[in-house]
Amino acid sequence: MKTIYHFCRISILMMALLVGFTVNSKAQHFPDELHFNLDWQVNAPVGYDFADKLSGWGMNFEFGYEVTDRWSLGAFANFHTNHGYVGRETIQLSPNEALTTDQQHSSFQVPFGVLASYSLYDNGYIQPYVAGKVGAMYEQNTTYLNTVSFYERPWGFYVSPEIGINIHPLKYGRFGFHVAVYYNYATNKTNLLNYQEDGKNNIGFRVGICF
Amino acid sequence: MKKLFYLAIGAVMLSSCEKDPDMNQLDSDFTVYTQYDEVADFSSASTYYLPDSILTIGDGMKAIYWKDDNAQSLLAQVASEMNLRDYQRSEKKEAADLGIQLTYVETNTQVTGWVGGGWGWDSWWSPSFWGPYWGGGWYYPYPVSYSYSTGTMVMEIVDLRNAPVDETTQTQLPVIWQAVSSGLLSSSNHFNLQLVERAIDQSFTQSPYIQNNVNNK
Repeated sequence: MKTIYHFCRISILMMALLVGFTVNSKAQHFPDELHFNLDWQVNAPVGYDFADKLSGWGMNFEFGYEVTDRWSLGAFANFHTNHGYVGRETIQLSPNEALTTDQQHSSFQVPFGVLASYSLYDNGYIQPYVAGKVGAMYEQNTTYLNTVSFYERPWGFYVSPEIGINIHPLKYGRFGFHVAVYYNYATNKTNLLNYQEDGKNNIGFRVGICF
Repeated sequence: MKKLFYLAIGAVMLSSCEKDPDMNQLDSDFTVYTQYDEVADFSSASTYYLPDSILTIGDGMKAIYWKDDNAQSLLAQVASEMNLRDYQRSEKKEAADLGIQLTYVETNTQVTGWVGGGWGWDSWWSPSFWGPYWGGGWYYPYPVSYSYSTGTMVMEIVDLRNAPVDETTQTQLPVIWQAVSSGLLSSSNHFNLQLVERAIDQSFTQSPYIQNNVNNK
């Protein structure tokens, strides 16, 4: 709990820093068509039991440029860490090798790439949208034993549909709040002890600011 | 310049935000790894020889023979495990089919380059301990890639059945089973001993192929 609090505090501090630098010093120079999102995110891997516990250790950053009234094109990057504890078990590593241990799994994901979003409605206060993201994903999967750890760092192709909403307290104001839910799939592959990953699915949601 | 600043912020955010897992969630028991020669015939061996001491490797890679009550307790446990598998303890190593050697590494120095036949230190178990004809060094009949560090118990079974009749012939001694148990040590010797005892028990539990089928017929 203390760790989560610490992480949230750092995240809020960094968000404030970024907002401060972008809004206060540069906002007046940004074209109206350019908008940014900065989010805290909660992510859960699905369909795979390596580091499969839901966590809030992640952030998302993206920007988009309105090429038409409804369409925006842009780029994104985010990171997330999920963990999972596995109790003591005997693993048959090969026909003549066995290993008895418990494990602490950690999966760190950093996808980035381009996005396209389509605005479903806009009355100046709320702006629901759907978006699609494609790109690459760097991943570091690590299994920690009591004195050693093993890791793999694969790259993969990344795709993610998303649905969300921007909420502006002031009509057509630049600053607002952002909420989104997403699914993503990446083609990363890892093979750590008795855990083989062949593609990765995640679901989650994001809460943050837009400006 | 400001673009660089934003890039730097982004890079820092991405690289510094990997959350480390809670390592305290891991239990304190040793990790137990076993490997054996699939070709070796454990079932036809009937006797084993177990020395009266355990080699301990401390700082400076100095080997000391550990013979106190704690060592005797661990050796008795190994003997009990072997007896439960219907092997008979031999008083003479020359008459034994199998030899068991225990090494306990408690140094903070990572031990590498030992396995795979590169037996470079006189202070470790010497092949000649098992007879003058085992002068060709050790060999592992299976690929080995392991290194040892703090709090590691290494148990090995060597196959003594193919000793040459002619003592002038130098032959390699096969290590047909190894069990490597590693973990963090506490400040309590009593607790550390319990961890090693549990690791020895687990080593044999996950090695059911160590079973004599001659003496129990």
